[in-house]
Order: sequence, then structure tokens, then C-alpha cells
Amino acid sequence: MDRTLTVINTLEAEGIIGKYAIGGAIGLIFYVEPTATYDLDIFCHLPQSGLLINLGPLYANLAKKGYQQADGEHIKIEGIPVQFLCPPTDLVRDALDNAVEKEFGGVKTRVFQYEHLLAIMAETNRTKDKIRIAQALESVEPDQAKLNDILKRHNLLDRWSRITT
Amino acid sequence: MSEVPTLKSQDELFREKLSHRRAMAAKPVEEKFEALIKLQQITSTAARQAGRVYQEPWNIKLPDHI
Repeated sequence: MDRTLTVINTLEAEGIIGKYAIGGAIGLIFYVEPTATYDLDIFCHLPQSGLLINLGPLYANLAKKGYQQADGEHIKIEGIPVQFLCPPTDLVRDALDNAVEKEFGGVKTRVFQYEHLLAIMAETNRTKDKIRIAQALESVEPDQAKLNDILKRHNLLDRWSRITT
Repeated sequence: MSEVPTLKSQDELFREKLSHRRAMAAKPVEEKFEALIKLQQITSTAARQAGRVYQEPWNIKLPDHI
């Protein structure tokens, strides 16, 4: 994982991707107990023309470094399938803008804040998200004021209370 | 003889589960990754043996200090 993050940090330093942060279930592992997951979600700004995202320069750069597309949208970097994603909603953009610095094995990286990860799971609202919210809340209390502020700004307060009661 | 009590209430078992969950959450992220990889190995093996679609666990080397 530290080697994977080193490659991703290089992509950012080279300007191939914009500011990035780890989200999804791997992001959550930085705060709570691990749940089974098989890919690393990297949210970042990528060159865009209209509604279309141009992944060409990213894939070409990774191919030069020896990393090929594994299956579908994943690229295996140092043994870990990585998916590069543009923030699809205002909430995820907010999470990326406010991501915090963390370290893994001595390598610096950026991760969505815990409260943003919880709000994103409420927004996506799949069965597995609801299960992960319940597990997360059992193991670590979020900063309630921060979480409420995020939920309020993104119109998720009602959904959050339906999920958690 | 084991010192671990064998008679426990349902509540006690759930409290222990919760405390294990909190202890795991408080561990360094590198240790949690080690647990994640074990979890991937278990779920992949179970899915494969049940004939379900499964994903390969990550084949990675964790930092030496773990």
C-alpha cells in the first residue's frame, strides 16, 4: 500500500492528476475497523471536456511506469487495484477539498475526513453503506457538530436520521 | 485449565464484540491493513468454495515494522 501511494503521489506531483484523496472503504479503514474491500478509490480532479473525463493521459503515464489496466476501470498499482474517480457530487467535492493528511508506512497521503465518509455513505445509500455506517458508529463516535453541518449543507439530515434510527 | 469463563450472558458477548471493534478501530492503520488482507483471504476462500464469484486477495508486501 505504501508503494501504491508513492506512485499516486508521483502522479499528483507530475500534474497528471489534481489534488487527490482516498475515499470509500479504504478511507474508512483509517478511522474504524476494516471491512472487506478489494479496491482503492482515489478521488481526484482529472482533465475534463464537457461531461467527459479524459483518462487517456493518466492511463498513458501509468503504462509508461509499467502499470496496466487490470479489469474494467481498475489499474493494478503495486498489487492493489486502484480506481481513479472524479468527485461525482458536491458532497464528494467538499470531501476532497477538506481531506486531511495521513501517513501509511511512512508515506504521506490524503484521506477524506471521517464525517465526510459517513455522509457520503448516507448519500450513496446502498445496503452495504448502511451496514458500514452502523459498524462505524459502533466503533468510533464522529464529531457530531461537524457531521451535522455536512449533512445539513448537503440536504442529508432526514436520510441520516432514517438510516440511524 | 483455562482461566477464561465459559458461562457468559448474551449481553456480555455483545459487549465483548463491541469492545473488540473499538480496539481494532484504535490500532495503527498498517495493522488494520494486515487484518483487511486476512479478511480478503477468508472471504475469497469462502466464496470460491461455495462456487460464487470471488475476487483475489491483494498480493502485497506490508511495511517491515508490522
